[in-house]
Amino acid sequence: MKIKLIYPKWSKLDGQTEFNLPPHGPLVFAAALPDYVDVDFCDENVQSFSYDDPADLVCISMMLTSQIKRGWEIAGTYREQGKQVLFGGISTMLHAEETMQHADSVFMGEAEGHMEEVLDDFSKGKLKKLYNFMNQQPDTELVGTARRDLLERELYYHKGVQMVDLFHASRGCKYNCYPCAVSFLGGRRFRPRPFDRIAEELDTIDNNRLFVVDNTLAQDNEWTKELFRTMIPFKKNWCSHTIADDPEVLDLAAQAGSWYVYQAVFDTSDYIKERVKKYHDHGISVEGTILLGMDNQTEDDIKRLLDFIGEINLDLAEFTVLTPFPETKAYDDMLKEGRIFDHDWNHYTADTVVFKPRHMSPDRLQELYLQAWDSFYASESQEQKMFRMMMKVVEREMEDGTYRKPRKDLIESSFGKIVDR
Amino acid sequence: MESPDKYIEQQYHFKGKWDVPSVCGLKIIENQDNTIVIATNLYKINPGTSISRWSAQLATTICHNFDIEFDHLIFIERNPDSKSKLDFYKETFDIVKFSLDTDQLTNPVWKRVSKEAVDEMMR
Repeated sequence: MKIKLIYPKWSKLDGQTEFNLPPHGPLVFAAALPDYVDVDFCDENVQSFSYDDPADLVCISMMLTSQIKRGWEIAGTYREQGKQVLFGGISTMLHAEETMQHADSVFMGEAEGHMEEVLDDFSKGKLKKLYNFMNQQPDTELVGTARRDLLERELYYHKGVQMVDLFHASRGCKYNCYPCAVSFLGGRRFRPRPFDRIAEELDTIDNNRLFVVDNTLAQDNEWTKELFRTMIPFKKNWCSHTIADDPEVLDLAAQAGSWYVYQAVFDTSDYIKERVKKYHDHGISVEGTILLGMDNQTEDDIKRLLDFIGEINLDLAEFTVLTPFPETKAYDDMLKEGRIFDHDWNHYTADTVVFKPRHMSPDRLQELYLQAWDSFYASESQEQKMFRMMMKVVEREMEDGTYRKPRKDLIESSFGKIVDR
Repeated sequence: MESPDKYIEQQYHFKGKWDVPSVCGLKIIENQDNTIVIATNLYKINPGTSISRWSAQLATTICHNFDIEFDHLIFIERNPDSKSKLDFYKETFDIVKFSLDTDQLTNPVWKRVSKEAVDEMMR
C-alpha cells in the first residue's frame, strides 16, 4: 500500500529569520504504520508535490492551526480526483469537527497500535469518518523511532548548517496552562517513553544538535535526571522547553548537552531573574518566550516587562501575542465574553491579534508586539544573537570532538533554495 | 434562608468532548421556582473537557440525570479562584442561557454575574 503523507505549508512570520526544522509529528506517525506501507513524504514548506504522484491513500498531518486551511485545500483537490484523505496530527485534533467536512476520515489521538485497524478498514473500502482514540492512549513502549529516513535531509540546511532534529522522550502534561492545549491533546498524565527506546532512537539520529520537544522537562525530577543520564553518552547538544528548577537536574542537563531552554517570562519577579541566572550558571543559554496580551497586562505592565527583559540577560527572546487556540482556557474565556473577532485560522500565528485585549485596543497590542521585537533586538540583531549562541555550541562540540563543519556543497543554499551568502 | 427542596453537592463525572472522561464540581439547589445548577471547573484534577467547552451537553446530561426540567433550569458556570497571580484565575460566575432543540440544550450564551447575585438567587 502506498501512502502519500503530506505536511502542509504555512506562512512564516513577518520580519523574522525563516527556519524550517524537520517535521516531527508526521515522522512519528509514519513509524506507527505497518511494515507493508510504503510512505512517500512531502514537507510542503521545503518541497512540492504533484497530485498525480502515485498514492492509494493520502494522509495529511497538521501541527499548526495556520496549516489547516492549506490542508483542507489539498484534501479538496485529492478528493475531486477520487482519492481518499485521512487527517491526523495536533491541529487536526484541535479543529476536528471542521476538518471532518474536508476529509474522508479524521484520526483523533495517538497513532501507535491503531493504524492496522484504520488501514484494514481502508483496504475493505470501509474507512470510517472518525477514528476516536482519545481514550486509548498507547503504551509508550509502542512509540517507535521517528522515520527520519523519509526526510530529504539536504533541505534542512541553512547555508551549510544543519538544522536541529526534533525528538521526544515523553508525552502528556500534568499542568494545564492558560494558553496551552497540550492537556487536551496528550492528556494530563505524564507518560514517559522507556529509556531503552529513547537511547535506541538517539543512536539513530544523524545530527549532533536536537530539539527535545517534550512539553516540559519539569514534570518528574527523578525521571528527568535518568533521561539526562541516558543522553550523556550520545554527546548531543540540544534545546528544550523549561527544565526543572533543581540544581542536580540542571547539573545533569548541562552534562547531557543542554544548549538552551525556552523559558516563559510572564512577570518581572526575582523568581524569573533567578531562573535565568541559574541556567546561565550551568552554561545553559536562555531564550525567553514572552506572551503579550494577557488579561492581567496593561500597557504599562507590558512596557515594564519589556524593560525587565532587557535587564535579565536573555540570550534570545521570542515575543508572541496571546492567541485563543481551541481547547484552551484562553479560548473558553474569550468565547464566553465574545472577544474573538477574527476567526480566520490563517491568522492564528501568534503574531496577529485576533481578540479584544482586556486593557487596550487590538491595534495597540499589535503595536506593542512589534515594539517588543524592535526594542529587544535594537542593539544586536536576532541573527547576531543567534550566531553568538551558535558559537557557544560550536566551542562545546570542538571540545568533545563532535563538531561538524558546515557542508560546503550547501553553503549557498537555504532549505533547498539558492541564496546569496 | 429557607431550606431548599433539593440540595446536592458532589464531584460529577461526565463524558466530555470526544468521550474523554471528565469531572467537574456540581451543586444543585432546588427551590420553589427554579433549580439552580452550579458547575465548577476543577482545573487541577479534571483530566478531560472543561465545563465551558461542554456547557450545553453537560447541562443536558445533568438535567436528564437529576430530573431537572429545562424550563426550570438556571445553569451557572463557576471558575474557582486558583490562587494564581494571574487575574483570569480569580473566582467568576457566568449564567449560561441555552436554546432548546427537542430534548437537547444548545447554543450556550454566557453572562458574567457577581458572587453576590448568585448568593441572592440561592436564597
